[in-house]
Amino acid sequence: MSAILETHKISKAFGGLQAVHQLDLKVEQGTIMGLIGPNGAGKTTVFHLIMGTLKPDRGRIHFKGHDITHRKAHQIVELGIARAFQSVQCCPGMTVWENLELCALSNHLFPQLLHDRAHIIHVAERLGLLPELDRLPAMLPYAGLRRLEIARAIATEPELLLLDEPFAGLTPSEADELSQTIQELRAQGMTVVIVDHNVRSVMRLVDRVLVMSFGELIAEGPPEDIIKNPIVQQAYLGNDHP
Amino acid sequence: MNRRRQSRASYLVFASVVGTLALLPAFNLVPKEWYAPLIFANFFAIFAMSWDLLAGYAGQMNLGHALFIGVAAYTSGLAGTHLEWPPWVTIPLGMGTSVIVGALIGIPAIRLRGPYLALVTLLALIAVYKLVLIYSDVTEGISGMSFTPKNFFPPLGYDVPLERVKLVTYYYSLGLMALIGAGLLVIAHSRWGAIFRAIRDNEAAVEASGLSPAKFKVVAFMVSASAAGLAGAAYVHLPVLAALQPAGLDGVLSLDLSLSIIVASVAGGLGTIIGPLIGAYITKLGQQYLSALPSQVEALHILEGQGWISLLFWILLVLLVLFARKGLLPLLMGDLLCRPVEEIQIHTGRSQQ
Repeated sequence: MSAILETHKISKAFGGLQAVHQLDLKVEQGTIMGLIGPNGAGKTTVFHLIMGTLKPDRGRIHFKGHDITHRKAHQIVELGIARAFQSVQCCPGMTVWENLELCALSNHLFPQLLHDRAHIIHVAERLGLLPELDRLPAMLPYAGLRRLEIARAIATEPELLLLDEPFAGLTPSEADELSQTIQELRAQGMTVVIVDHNVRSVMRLVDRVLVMSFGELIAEGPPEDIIKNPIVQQAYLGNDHP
Repeated sequence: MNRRRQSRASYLVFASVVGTLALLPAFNLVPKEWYAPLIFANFFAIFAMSWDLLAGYAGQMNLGHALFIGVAAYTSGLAGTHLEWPPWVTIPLGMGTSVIVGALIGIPAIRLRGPYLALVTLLALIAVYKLVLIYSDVTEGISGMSFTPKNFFPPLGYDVPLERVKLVTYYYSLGLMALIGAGLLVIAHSRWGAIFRAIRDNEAAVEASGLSPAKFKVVAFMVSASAAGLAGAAYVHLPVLAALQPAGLDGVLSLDLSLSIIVASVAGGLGTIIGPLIGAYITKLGQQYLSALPSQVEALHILEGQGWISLLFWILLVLLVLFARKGLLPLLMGDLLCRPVEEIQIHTGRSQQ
C-alpha cells in the first residue's frame, strides 16, 4: 500500500515550547489512522502543519508526491486534503446549503461548482443534513454542527480527510453514527486521519494508531498493540486500559 | 426566508425605488429647487451601495471610500480639461484608474484587518488629497477645478434652459444609479457575493473550503472601486456642478464624504445594498429638507443659519443607530431582504463538556 501523505522530520516550536519535534509520519492510502496523545502532545499542531495554516520550522511534508510544505491552506485543499476543525468553522450567516455550496466552488476568478448540485445533496444526505439545508448553523443542535463541519470538508471532495476531535461532545449514539459514516467514506477510497481524545471511539475505528507525547512520536501500530504498549500506557493512558 | 427569496425581494424593492424616482418629474412632484439635491443624492446612493459591497458584504472596513471617487473624478476631470479628451473617454479612464487604486488598497487588506485596514484606507485618502493640494497648479487645489460646457455629460447645447439641463441631468444620474445599483445587486447575490459574505463571517472557513480569501478580498476592493469610480468620473462632468472640490461635504476627496457614506449605509442597513440606497436618499434629502425648514416655518426662524437643524438631524441619526442598530431597512422589513447579524451566532457549548 502506498503512502498518500508523508512528513519528514517536521518540527515546530512556539517560543520555547517545542510543539512538534522531528516527526516522521506516514499515512497509507485508503486507511483510517488515529493520532492520539495527551493534551499538549502536538496533535492539532500536526494538522495545522499539514494544512498549511502553520509552517514547519524544519522538515518537509509530501502529499501524493507533491511537496506541500510551503503551500497555502486553500492550495492544499485544492490538491485534495480537507480538514474538519475541532471548533466548528462554518459561516454563521449562511444556510447549511450555502455553507456546503461554498466548499464545492472552484477557486477561479469566476468560481464554478466543481460538481453538480446532486453532489452537495449527496454529501448532506450522507451526514444526515438533508432536513437542515435551509437552516442557519445557529439553529442546529451541537451534533448537527459537528456533522456540518465534516460535511463541509467532504464537500471539497478530498482524498485525505483530517478530522480533529470529531467525537468531542457527542453522545455515544451520535458517535456511533459518525463512526459508521467514517467507515463508509473509507470504503469509498477516502483516507482518514483522526485526532481525538475519545480513545474508545478511535480505537474501534482505526487501522493504525500513532501516539504522540510532548511533540514526539512514541508509538505506532495496530490499535490492539497500542493498547498493550507499556510506553503508551505510561505516557497517555495511565495504568487503565481504554 | 431563504437567500433566493431575499434576492428577489431586493430586486423588487430596488426596481420600486428606481421606478418611483423616475416618475417623480413626470407627475410634477419635484419642486425646481429639489433637482440639484436629487441629482447629488443619486450619486451619493451609488457611493453608499459600492461602499456596502466592500464593507457590509465583504467586511473590509474602508474609512476612505472617497479615495476611489476622488481619484476617478480627478483623473476624468484632468484628462477632460488639460488633454481635452471627451467624457466618453475620460469617464472609463477615471473608472479604470479607480479600479487600479482599489487593487492597490486591496493588497494590504490581505494581511490587515479591522482598525489597521481602516487606517490604511484613511491614510491613502489623506495622501491623495495632499497630492491634489501639492499639484494645485494642475488641479487648482482647494479652490476646485472648473469646467467648460464641452466637458459636460450628458452633452447639452449652450442654449439649453437651466430647468431642462437639470431634468436631463436628473435622469442621467438616475439611469447611472439604476445601472450601477443593479450591477451591484447582481454581484451581491452571485457567487462572488456569497464568498464576500463568507470572508466577512469566517475567513478560516473560506480558506478551508479551498478558496483564496486574499484573491476575493482584492476582487471586492476592485468591484467596489469600479462602481464608485464610474460614478465619481461621471459626477465630475455634471453640468450642474459648479467646480470639482477636493474638500468639504461634497468634496470628492474629503473625509466628510467618506463618513457621510458610512453614516448613510449604517443608517440604512449594512450588508443589504438596498439599505444604503435608502439611507443615502434619507440622509441627503433629509438634510436638505431640514436645512430649508427654518426659512419656511416662522416658528423655526430662530434656528436659521445657526446649524441647529443640522445638529438635530445628526442627533436623529445617532438615535436611529442606537435604537435600530441593524439599520432602517431591517427595522422596517425584518429579514425580507437580509439576515440580521445578531441571529447568526453559533453556540458550541457542548465542546466544553
